[in-house]
Amino acid sequence: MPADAAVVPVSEYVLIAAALAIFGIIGFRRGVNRELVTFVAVLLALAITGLFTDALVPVVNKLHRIMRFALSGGLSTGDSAALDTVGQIPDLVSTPASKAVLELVLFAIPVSISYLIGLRFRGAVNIGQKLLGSLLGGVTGFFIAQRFGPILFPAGQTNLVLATGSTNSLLQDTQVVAVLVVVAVVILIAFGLYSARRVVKR
Amino acid sequence: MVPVEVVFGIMVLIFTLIGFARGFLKELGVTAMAIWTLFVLSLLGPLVERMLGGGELSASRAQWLCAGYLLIIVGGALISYHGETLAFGGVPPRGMTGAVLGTMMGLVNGYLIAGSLWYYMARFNYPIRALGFTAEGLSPAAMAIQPYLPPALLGQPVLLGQSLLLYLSILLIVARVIR
Repeated sequence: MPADAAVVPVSEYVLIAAALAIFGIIGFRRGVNRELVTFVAVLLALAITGLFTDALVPVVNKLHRIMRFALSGGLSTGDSAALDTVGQIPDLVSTPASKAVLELVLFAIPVSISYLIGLRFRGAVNIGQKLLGSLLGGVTGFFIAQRFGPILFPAGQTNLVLATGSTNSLLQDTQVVAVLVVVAVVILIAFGLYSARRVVKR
Repeated sequence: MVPVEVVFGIMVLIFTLIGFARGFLKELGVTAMAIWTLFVLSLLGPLVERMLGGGELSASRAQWLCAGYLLIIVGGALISYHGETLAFGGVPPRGMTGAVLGTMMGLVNGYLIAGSLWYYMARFNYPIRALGFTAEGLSPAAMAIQPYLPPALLGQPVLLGQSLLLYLSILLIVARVIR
């Protein structure tokens, strides 16, 4: 690190607050209808990354080799040069860092698609839908911070003094997870009851 | 024997599909019943266990206690799924929003009911051998999931020394009264 480099201490709370603020504002603008789709996609993405990352590593490596083989000329070269070249290249996903990138991609795909799908739904039409959207956006932001934070800010790779170890411990704290789960369920219930029409007695 | 986390996952999936089919308001009635059942169990369970001697439980006593907890949870689920009495009033949301909300509440109910069954089996060290689960055969995934099962997760004190189950119970009672 250069001697005159500024070291900006950023605690784990700043990371979480930033995620909550950014996604809360996005949720406020998009409304609860659209945020609900993203929230479901985030849950799906968490399940996919948790269950399938390890199983997908060899598949991704094979696809990478197939692509490199095709780019090197494939079978059209008529000799084994392309095959030899492909045989010597290392696996695309072989280190913890590259596996983390794969996890990020697997997480980002359903979430990005959900943002596009959400555009097909009606946006917020009143302040109630905006506030519920903001809350649901905040919960989404927390889960995204949980997945992206330790990967984007690993210790020793940034001038920001970011205690990712304690970030992890905070984000994995069962009490914090419990509160987040309950907040998400309460938002679902509030939105559901808000959307359900009352039966008018005659 | 099928791993406990797979059985748990299949149960959650079935409850999710049921939620999709039944709709949001009916599922919310089940959620309320499940939360109230867990809250009552978290209050009265330790008392009953103390009355029965507390401390180290013998194998047969653990088996009976575990069976009691499981029966109460299954009974509560059966009552809440049977009929319309616990469903919240009104016309459920329609279209895609209604389908997503119903599915999500089904997922929550699956987590609450299947997760609670798993929690009480784990708490007494899987005493009912007939179910085919043992503490020795648990996978790393099952060990990792256990701290996140509903009574463990929602039973933690968060505010004024009270658990989230209390606050959720109050909230659902208020929602039920308003609707």
